[in-house]
Amino acid sequence: MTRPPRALSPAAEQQQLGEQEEFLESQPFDLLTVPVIGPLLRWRHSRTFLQIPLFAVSIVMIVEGLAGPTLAPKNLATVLTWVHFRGALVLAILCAGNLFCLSCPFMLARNFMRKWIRPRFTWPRLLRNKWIPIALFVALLFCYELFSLWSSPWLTSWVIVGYFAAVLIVDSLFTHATFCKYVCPIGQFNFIASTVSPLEVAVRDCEVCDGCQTKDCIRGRREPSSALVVLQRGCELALFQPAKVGNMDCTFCLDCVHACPHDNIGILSRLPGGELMSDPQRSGIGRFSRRNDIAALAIVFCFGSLMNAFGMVSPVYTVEDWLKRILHFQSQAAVLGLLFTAVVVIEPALLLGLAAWITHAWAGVKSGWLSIAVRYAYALSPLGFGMWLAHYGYHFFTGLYTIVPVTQYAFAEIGWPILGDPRWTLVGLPKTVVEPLEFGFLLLGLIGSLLVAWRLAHDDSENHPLRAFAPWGVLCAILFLCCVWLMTQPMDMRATMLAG
Amino acid sequence: MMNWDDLRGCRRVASRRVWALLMLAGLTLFVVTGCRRPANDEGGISITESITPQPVRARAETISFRLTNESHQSVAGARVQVEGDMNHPGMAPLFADAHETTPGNYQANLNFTMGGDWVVLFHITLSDGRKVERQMDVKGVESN
Repeated sequence: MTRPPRALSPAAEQQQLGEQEEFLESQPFDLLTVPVIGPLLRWRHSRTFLQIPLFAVSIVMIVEGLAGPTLAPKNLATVLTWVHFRGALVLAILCAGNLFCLSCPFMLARNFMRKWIRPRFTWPRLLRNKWIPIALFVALLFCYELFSLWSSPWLTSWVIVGYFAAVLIVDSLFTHATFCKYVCPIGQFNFIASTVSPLEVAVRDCEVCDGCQTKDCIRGRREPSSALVVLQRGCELALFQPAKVGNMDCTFCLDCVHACPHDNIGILSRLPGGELMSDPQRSGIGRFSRRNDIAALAIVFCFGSLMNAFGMVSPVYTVEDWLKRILHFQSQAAVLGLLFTAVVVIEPALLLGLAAWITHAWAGVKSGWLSIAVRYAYALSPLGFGMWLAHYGYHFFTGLYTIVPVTQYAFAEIGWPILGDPRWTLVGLPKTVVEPLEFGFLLLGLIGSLLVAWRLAHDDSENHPLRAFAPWGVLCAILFLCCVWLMTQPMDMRATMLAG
Repeated sequence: MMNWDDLRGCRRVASRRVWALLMLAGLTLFVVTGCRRPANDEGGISITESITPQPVRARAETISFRLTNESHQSVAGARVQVEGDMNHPGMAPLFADAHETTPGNYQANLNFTMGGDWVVLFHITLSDGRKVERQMDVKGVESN
């Protein structure tokens, strides 16, 4: 016989609720405590275990891209890269965190290489920022449009090969995770996107860290008899766990988890985007408000999402033709370069400059307009991520099942049709399902950006938070409308370079 | 017992081996690149095709084509399946069966579902059972 629950007085009930909330706040969800997943991730070779399949797939993609069908929709290199990989990457960031960097196949090759080649140099101090990867990120987006990488399995393969080569060269010369932190454009995309992820690698109990003498999470765990022998490396990206804030620069490599002798590091839940709402001193990064390069990354991340989608809809060709006509340009590269400059450089400079000036003049925020622009630039990250999600999610969901016939076709092409005839009718989810998802992603992004901007405005101007917020709110709304307009345009994908 | 100099020497040798392996991998890639399958040129079949109406738009369009052999004679009685592929991966291919309007002349209706560059493949089965494939690029299909 079960005993009926004892009735509580309202005050006691309130107190119990408060205690429950406090407990939930102090005990966030920890992925490492989940059965199966937790033990797998805590296993010392978990990263290698996750990297091996992706490495194998990368090799298949390279070979298929170079020697397989020349038609992009029938080639594994293009289908996996431009439909599945991109979509899975952003969805993983949305649902969990930077899982791609965790299972990065390039790092598997690099770790293998480092068994024989020890890098001798440290990355020059002048280059310890995000300007190089920002330039590479923009260059990648530019080349994607100019050379229509999506339509060329051959070029797609060479991009992957180039990536492997770049990783091996940079990390064979320079110590630590130089490529990840200071070069990799995909990594920077993941870092800035994962600022809105629900999970982060973080310390479970700060008091344990206060009493820690060895700092293995950053120094690495050493052989007790010889401090020169590293048994488990610490964070290669210079993120000291007790002072680490958020996901910026974190590759989820879990080296710190394996190195910590107190088992005090977990993959904890947190408020998505919460790290953008404050400006603490961050280990390995400093303050966001003093990092013009990371602010520029956030801006390129947001406006690059617009440009990337703009290159895939009908109006881009009208604009290109118009530019060619009035400027008498013949070169496709010049026209595209002009468009990129307008969307990724001039437009954000004008919009953010204006918003910062209004914040300064109207809300009485004391900082200069550049400092204000840098501080609020991070508020654009959720909206930018919403746009990437909407764009990549569209291709991912509408082409979800295409991997099946393309794999069947690949086997058939090598004379081993064990998977049967390609079922080309397998495509993906219908647009009626995908389109609401797209707008949902955009709306989530807008809400995130508005909340971050509001929180920053509230901290900046206690007397006039609404005035400080208004220009950024309007900017976010304008960008959101641009995103919605882009998503409602008919898709029109032309291989511009080939079309001449 | 191995001293530090020996250890450094071993590492140097190993390092050279890794670089040699990397260069070999690069060379293999170049070879693989050169080993692309040659275009199927079986049967000496030529195709002359056209699409109406022009400009081609994202809608149902009629593709007319004529098959000829190496002596420029019409090839009648072939079964032809027409396949339309977008240049972007992840899009559904379109299929249509062509019908022979007059000996050697064929016609198929293909419903271009979106604007952009398309590739049309002709899967041809000749009357003697031989199979041939031909390709036509349809650039700049206009959106509605």
